[in-house]
Amino acid sequence: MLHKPDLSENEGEDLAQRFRTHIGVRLFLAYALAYGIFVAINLVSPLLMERIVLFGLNLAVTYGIGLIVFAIVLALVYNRMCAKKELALNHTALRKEEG
Amino acid sequence: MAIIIFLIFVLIVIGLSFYLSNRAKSASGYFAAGGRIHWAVNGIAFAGDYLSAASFLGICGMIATSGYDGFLYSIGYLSGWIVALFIVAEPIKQLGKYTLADALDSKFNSRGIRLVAAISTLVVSVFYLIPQMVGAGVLVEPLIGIPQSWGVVLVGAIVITIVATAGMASTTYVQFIKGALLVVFSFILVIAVLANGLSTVPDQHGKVPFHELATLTVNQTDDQRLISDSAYSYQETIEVGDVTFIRLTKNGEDSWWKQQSSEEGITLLQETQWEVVEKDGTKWVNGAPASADNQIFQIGNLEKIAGKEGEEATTGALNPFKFLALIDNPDTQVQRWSSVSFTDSNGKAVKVYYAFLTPGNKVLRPGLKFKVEGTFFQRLDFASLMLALFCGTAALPHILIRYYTVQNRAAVRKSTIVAIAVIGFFYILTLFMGLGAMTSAVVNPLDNNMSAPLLARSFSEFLFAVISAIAFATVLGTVSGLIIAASGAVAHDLLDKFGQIKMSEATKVHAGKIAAVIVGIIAIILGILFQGMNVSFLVGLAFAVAASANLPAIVMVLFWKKTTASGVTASIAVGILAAVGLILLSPEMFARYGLDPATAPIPFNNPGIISIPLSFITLVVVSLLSNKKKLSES
Repeated sequence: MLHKPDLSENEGEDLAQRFRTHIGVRLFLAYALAYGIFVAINLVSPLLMERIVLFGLNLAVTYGIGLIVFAIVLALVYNRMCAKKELALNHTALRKEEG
Repeated sequence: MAIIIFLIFVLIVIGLSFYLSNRAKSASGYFAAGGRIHWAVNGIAFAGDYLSAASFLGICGMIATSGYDGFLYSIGYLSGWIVALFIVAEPIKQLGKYTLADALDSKFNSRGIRLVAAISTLVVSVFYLIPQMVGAGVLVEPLIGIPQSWGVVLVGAIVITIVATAGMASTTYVQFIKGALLVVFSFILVIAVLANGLSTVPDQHGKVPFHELATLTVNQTDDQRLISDSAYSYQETIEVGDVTFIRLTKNGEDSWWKQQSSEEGITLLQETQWEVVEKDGTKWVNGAPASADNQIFQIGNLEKIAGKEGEEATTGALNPFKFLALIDNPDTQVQRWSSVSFTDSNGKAVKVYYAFLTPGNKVLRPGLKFKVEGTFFQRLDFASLMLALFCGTAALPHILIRYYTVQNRAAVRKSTIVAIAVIGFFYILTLFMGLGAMTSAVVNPLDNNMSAPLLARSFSEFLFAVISAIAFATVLGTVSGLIIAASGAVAHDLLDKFGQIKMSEATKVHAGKIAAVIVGIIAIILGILFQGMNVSFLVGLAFAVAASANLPAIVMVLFWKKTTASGVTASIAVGILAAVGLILLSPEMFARYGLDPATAPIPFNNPGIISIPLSFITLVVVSLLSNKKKLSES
């Protein structure tokens, strides 16, 4: 185990919090937009959902499964960005402590 | 076989609970497993907690009968996890300790928030518990051959044992085991469905011969009806809506037929299934006394696959894309079923189950259940459901408390991502399981909740036994989580924080256990009362209540600095009252009361689109007013 400060443990002064909120809200809005468009198509032009778009699948199935896959991808992107930021802040904090 | 696997599972679960019981001596150990759960275990346990009877039984059943509209639940449920991950998860971990109220009240120290948040947790948990218990009864009946009511009692007793012995620790591991098994065996079932392919004459692998519906022709002249099979004689015609049913007799026995078409004096009649209840209560099924061997037979098949029928249409193994594309083909015809009830001319209560054809391209697009091309209120109902599903997950108390079971915020994030991946994968599988059931003549027209287990039975008894045991575990895992959440609300929020009853750690755990037993008994009673409703529909309502009561408060506490304790309290109270009130006045509930749904004062079933914004507005207005009052006082 490395003996360095773990920002995620140190809940009180979590330097990464603002970054996480910033990224989290943006990714949330991106997904909410995709979800909103999906619901809107169903309501405004449901026949459009019958249109074949990919691998013989119609828009309803492609968009529906796409939303599930998109959620997983966004979650992984979020984790990657947060972990990277936390690591960078850890290094900064460690350098300050050593300096 | 099924009973053995079922018993083994129950013994493992109860043994695990007693083994872990020494971890539940402190309040932290009982309500939050001491915050010592590994994030990966917690992630799978999230899936085990979340993938309830509604997800497995309800969604598969709804897809099996209503096609893509059932899959909309899968999409909506999964999308809610995005709100949980990006907005709620990590701050909740930072602010809370055991319950939702801990997080909401972290900045205020308000007894009012404690009270309404605890009530909200109890209301949401009870709404969520009902479908789980209904699902339990449905499962246990075919699994071990006991009536549904006793199945509900059995599940209740096991869950009370799990929760009362080791609290969150045993609940977590039950959910972990169940979540992992559910996804693995659902995947195996989907592989079996794809390897089997599609056929217009599904016979459950030789176990149940395919029942082709008989057709008669009637040549109608001015004074008589000449039926193609002269053994039949015409008795009466009943019209229900736009469907016409004809009663014929043969050798003194009645049978009901659906009128297909009528051209140039020739009418086609299609065989139906029917139940008749005599005035003395005697029940007949398809012309013979009801018995274990004489039940309404399983239904659901393709009449044509991409324009082909019979042996020529049988596809053999299919890849997932081809499977979906063939069902979606406009020249594919899916035989679906509906039912109507009426009283015949002899005063007998008749329920007829009749088949009708739907083109494949209509099955794999919205519209069979949700009237997306209907009236304004029907469309609003759909939008309201999708909003509630999106907002509900991050507001479910039994999900939120799982954030307290891991050590830190990074673990919260990682476990949520594991949950999203596992749950997302499972929800994609539901589409294949549901469509597999729809096309394999395995759907029970009396109760579509059993579609996935019955699909498994069409492949092998062993798979059926395992899937049923897992489905049963699904109920156990989710109900345990709900009861833990409810017991925390009572012991920690109501007694300790609101009632300010000074309790030692041991007393608080004891109070939590007593609360768990009481909530468990309430769940048993409600599970028996609500038998027969689609479990996914009921969970949709629980989501609406959670999204209305809790989400506005959570979001505003986190993101709006002017939020006050009065605002949070008012928002939760208004959210609960609005959501529950709108549900109780909805057409679906009016039908449940035995009243005409058209007379319901609220023209839609899902309240979220009204109650969620109302709860937000209440919070903002009351917070601004209370801030203003505070300023003027100071």
